[in-house]
Amino acid sequence: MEKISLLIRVIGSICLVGGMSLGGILTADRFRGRLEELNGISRVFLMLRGEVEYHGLVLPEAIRSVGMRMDGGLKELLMGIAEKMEDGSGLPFGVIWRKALKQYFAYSYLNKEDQKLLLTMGNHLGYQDKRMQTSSIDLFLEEWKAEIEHSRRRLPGQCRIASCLGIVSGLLLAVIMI
Amino acid sequence: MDKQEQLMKGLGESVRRIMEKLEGDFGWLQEIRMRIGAPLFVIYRGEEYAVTKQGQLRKDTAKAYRITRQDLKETVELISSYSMYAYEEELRQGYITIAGGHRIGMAGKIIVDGRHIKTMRYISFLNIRLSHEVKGCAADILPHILDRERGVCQTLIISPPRCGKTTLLRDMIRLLSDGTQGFAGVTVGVADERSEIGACYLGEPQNDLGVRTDVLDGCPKAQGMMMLIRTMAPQVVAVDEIGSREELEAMEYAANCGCRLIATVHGSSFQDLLAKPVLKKMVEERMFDRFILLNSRQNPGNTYCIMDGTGKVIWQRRGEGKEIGKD
Repeated sequence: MEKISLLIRVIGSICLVGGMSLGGILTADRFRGRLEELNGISRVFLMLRGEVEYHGLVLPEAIRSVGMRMDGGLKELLMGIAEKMEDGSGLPFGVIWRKALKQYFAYSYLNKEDQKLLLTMGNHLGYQDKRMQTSSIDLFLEEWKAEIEHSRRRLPGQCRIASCLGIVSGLLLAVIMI
Repeated sequence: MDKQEQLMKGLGESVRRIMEKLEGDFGWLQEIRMRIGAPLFVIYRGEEYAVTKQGQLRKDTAKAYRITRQDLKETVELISSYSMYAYEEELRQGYITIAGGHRIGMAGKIIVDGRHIKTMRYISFLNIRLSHEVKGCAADILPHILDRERGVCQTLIISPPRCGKTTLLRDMIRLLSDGTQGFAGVTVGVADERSEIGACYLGEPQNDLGVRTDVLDGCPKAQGMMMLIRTMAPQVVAVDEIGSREELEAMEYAANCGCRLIATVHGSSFQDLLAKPVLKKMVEERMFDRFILLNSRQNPGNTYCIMDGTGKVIWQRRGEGKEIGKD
């Protein structure tokens, strides 16, 4: 009977350590995912700037064109925004942008600060002349790149801590349980 | 999508809601004027009215809806397809044309580069001029500008502002291009410098200019006339609001090439033409065979009289004419 009880506790501890370690790994993966997403959004705005500056495309077309070159959630986000702008709903760009981003954030790795910064862009696109428009994008990109740099520097440490914390906390709980 | 719908989609949300409730017939609406902090005004059947939040037309401004900065921002965003930056060339001219052919005049902070206008920022004033096609308004006039020997007569439409000279010119182009009973259509070239005749949006005329019409959109009239003659071989060349020396030279060139000309000019009488040196020369040289004089603000496009090349009246409208300022 005791043997069975011990066996259950060992299996339980292994599951616990495994689960907690997996949690740590997933958290580390989330940090990596955020950095990838930050880079993806930076690419979006760089391409958008090019479409505005050199091709002179109207914003719905420019967003669609950039969207077609992206993949995953960003593609879906951009195509959705372009479609909404072109359907003649008469909504201001800020409203379309905000609504689309709120849906996108549900499946995103971005933190609150990133989301806030991205949302503000809705107030700066669409009604300005070329110079002001590109300047707004440049300003956004500068802030965004600073965040990328900051995130990149912290990433190895964060990943290590998350993984280690997962394993250690799993072990700790296992010891307590046994 | 009709022209009213196309216009509505370009208005900010609050203004759109008011305009949807506007009393009266939308077909008589000529202009919508928006200025930050000022009442929303419309020009309806040639008269200015302030519009209330309930869409009522009032002569006094006390209960009028006041335009906010947000209204202007939203409207500018929507009329430019969220892309004001893509309209820099048009902004330098002070207006853009939207789908449906409506023309949006803008004023705000002008940015200059040396002596040239670079762009416009902080747009705070809008004048939306609604595009009106009055099909058939030139039908009565057409027989007077057609001649058995010469074909289409060289014609100049003289009119004060807002009396419908462009509306009349547009319909004359359409009728000449499509042809009518007893008149086979001819090829018409239109040099549409301010996009008022064809109201082109992305190069495509939003107004019906007939099946044999070629349009050079946004091109300076003098150069446009030359280009059309060289490239499209039109039998008739049509231009709006002539007046400069270069345009006179281009018209002479067109006439020498065998093209017939139809043009418009600002003025309220035949004598007004003679007061302008360039136009006086055109009249003296008998460049035109017909002068059409318009003078009715109530009924835009209403012809007052038609004169021959010497200024002799050959046809005159008596009493009130047909109302043709309505779609």
